[in-house]
Amino acid sequence: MAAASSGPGFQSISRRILRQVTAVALLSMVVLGSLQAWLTYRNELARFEELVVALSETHVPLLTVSLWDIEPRAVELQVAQMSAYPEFARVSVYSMTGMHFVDRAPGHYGDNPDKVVSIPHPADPEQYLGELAISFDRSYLNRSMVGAVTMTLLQYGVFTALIILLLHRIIRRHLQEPLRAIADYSTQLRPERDNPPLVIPRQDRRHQDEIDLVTEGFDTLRDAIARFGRERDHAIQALQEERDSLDDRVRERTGYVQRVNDFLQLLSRLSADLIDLPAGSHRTAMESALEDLAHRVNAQRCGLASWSRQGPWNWVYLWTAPGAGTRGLPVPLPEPEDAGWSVGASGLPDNTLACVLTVADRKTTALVFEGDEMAQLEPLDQRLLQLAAEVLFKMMDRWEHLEELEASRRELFRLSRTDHLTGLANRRYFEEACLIEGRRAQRTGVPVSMLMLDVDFFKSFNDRYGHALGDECLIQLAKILGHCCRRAGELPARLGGEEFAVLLPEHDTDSALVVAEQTRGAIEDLNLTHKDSPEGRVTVSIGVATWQPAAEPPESFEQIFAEILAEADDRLYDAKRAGRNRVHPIAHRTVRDIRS
Amino acid sequence: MRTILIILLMFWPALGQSMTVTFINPGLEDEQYWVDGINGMKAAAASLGIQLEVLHAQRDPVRQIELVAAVAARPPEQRPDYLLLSVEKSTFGAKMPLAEAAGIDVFLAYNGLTPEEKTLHGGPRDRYRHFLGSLNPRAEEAGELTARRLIEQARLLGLTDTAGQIQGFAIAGDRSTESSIRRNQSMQQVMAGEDVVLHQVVYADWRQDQGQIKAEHLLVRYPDTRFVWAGNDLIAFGAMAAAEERGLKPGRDILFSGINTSPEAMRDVISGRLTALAGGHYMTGAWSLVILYDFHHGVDFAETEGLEMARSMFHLFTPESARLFLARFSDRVPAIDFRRYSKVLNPGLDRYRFGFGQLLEQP
Repeated sequence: MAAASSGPGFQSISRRILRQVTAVALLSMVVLGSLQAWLTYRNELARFEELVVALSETHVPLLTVSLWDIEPRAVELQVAQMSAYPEFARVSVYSMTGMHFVDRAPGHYGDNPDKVVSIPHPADPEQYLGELAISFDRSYLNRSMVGAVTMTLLQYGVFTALIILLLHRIIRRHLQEPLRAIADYSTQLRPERDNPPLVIPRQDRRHQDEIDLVTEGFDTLRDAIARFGRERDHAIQALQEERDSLDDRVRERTGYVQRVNDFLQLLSRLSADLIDLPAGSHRTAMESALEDLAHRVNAQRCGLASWSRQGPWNWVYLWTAPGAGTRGLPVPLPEPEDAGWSVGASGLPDNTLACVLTVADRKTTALVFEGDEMAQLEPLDQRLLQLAAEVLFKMMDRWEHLEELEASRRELFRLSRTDHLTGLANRRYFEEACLIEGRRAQRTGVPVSMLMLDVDFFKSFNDRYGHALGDECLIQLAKILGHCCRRAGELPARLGGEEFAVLLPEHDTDSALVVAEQTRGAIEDLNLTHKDSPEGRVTVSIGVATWQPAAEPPESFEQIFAEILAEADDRLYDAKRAGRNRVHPIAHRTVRDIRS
Repeated sequence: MRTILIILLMFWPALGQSMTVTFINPGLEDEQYWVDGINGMKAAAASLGIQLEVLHAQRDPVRQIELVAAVAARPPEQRPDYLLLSVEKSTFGAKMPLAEAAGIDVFLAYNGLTPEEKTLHGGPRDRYRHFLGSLNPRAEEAGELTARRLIEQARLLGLTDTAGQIQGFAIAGDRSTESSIRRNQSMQQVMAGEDVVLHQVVYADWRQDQGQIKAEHLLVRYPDTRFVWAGNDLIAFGAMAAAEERGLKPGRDILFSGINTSPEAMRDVISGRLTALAGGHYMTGAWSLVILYDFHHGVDFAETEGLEMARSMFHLFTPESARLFLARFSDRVPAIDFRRYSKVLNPGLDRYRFGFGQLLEQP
């Protein structure tokens, strides 16, 4: 048996039952045997007693006669008759006259008789002729007991053996064989296949019994196993599918993470790209960013719009895929309602997705996508787009702030180096520019020239026309200067009062003189009335100086330019002295020339 | 025995017609009583010219019947004229028809029919024609003689108890034989008439050893016993031996009686050991031959003596008669001429006398 090979050893239930029955039977045999022995013992003792009584009734009168008549033969005969009883080991007759008759079975020598019966006198009841002494045969008693017990045990044994045999057959037929069949069947039960039904060949019965119940149980079990098998197959299939789908899900998840990552990378890149862009690149960069985002969600269009309390939506940035046509964005966006985020297409066409952030009492910004797949966008994409929107909105805010800041800075910068009246460079900026141009000239070896300009008779103009007109006059002059010196690097500046200077890089004295003459002519052509001037109009005197850089850089450019400026100023005074409304020097000279 | 027969036949070959008698001995061939009896019969046969045949049944009743049957079955010429039988133990009913059928006359000696047998089978010459008659000793006589002698001697010796009575018991032969019964009854009648305590009568089957055993125990049972009456001499011998074992001297401390005529008994009578001894009845056979001789020769006893004869035959021996007996009878065929007692041969004799004393006195 397969069952016998495993576990703590196999033992048939029938063997156990039979063994127990046998044990009980043996125990019963012992009890029965003991009882029988006891009963036999009692019966035999009673029989002895009865026998003794019977003998007393039959033999004692004869013994009386025999003893009375002194008939030893008769006594012997009677003793022999009595001792012929197998129950007696020894029968003795003792007469009062000294006769002693003993008959005993060989080998038995009981000293004390078990029974003594007096043999009465035939005439005198007071007297006795002798005694009849009887010793029971213990071995006969034992033999009787053994015989009775043996017979009883034999009967009982045969009966019990028959019963056990019958029991064995019954157990074997009705219990063991079905159980073995069930056990064999149960070892063949396999969870992975459809098991055949349990069929136990048995006789037809009118009633069901436990075996039938077990059989039914096995049918149930078989069904359960089949069901379990099917369920397990399903489960395994599901598990396989799950396993297969796990890859997909991992892939999906990985894709998800990848997408998020990519998106975050995109955002990061966009942030990095956008954050420190110069203002001029904003549009391009932002439109590029919108393009990237639009590609990310397969949108044909993408745009950023802002809305304030007044007026319609303002589309700040917009990207449209090439070939997308003109349909769609900018769509009319609904007016925002509550503060906070709103992501979706509410109030919009289906192919539209809008990420709208409303900041209370300030403004609303929206990132809007338009594309065929917008309606199928997953929440992740929506959230990512919202994230992108947040970044972009923040970027726009930042840009806005940066622009404001830049404007302020530029204004400050401008203010710091321009003359507030004329808008020309002030003296400080002019000096910085001189240093810069001086270094450049030093590198290129190209000369740098400088004009020194002063309004003729400007004190009298102010006196005559007032400071307001005087300022107006200065502003007009400044415009002429700006107009005449428009080339890159050319820098007119108001040094103070009615004194102006112009830095002319890459101008030698001749070209500088040309510029100076043009400027003087333009101002004269302006024809600003100045009654107190001999010319009747506003004129200027201009001094020109030129620095030709040497091979060796100077110790100090400030010094150089201070010298050039002083030279130009000298030349201005030369011009003043020479009658004003003119340019000096007349000859082509350079600073070096001057120096030398 | 056979030699004697042959001799007898040789002596009387010419007689041819001589009378033939066959006696069937119920006892043993060597039994003293019957040896004596047969010796007496031989003496009588010799005296009277009777051809006597003796067959021994050896104490076997069946054998007795068989012997009768054998004799009856003989060819007629070989059959005896008379069958002399001693009927014991109720065998008459079996024997008589055999003899009757064979036509043999039967005469009973020693024992007659009991009243019961007589009622059953009828008396002599009644139902059975060949049943001639019977002769037996008057058995009572033996009991009376010995009992009286015992009592007399006890008185003489003063063997009385404190109450003046003489205590004793009897050991009889058997309780069924006719002669034994009568012997005992007569003894008891005598005892009853005297100042005697007869404690008990027991039976010893005529045997010495039995007599000794019974005596041993009865002497224990009745320690004041002064006499023991014995049914025959053998019992008396046993009883005496038992008494002697107990240190009693027979004839002085305790008295014994016996019946029969054995030499030992005679010697005990002579020595005084045995106080009383009666005997002589063994001669019944011899007397019967005398009666049959007369009958054969035409003198039928029926007319003068009666069919069933019970006659006094006992003699109470004294030391003197004992000595005589030893001298004449002991162990031999006595030299007695029985012709004296035949009526045929003695026409003046009108009545038979069968007393033993006459045999002692007149050889």
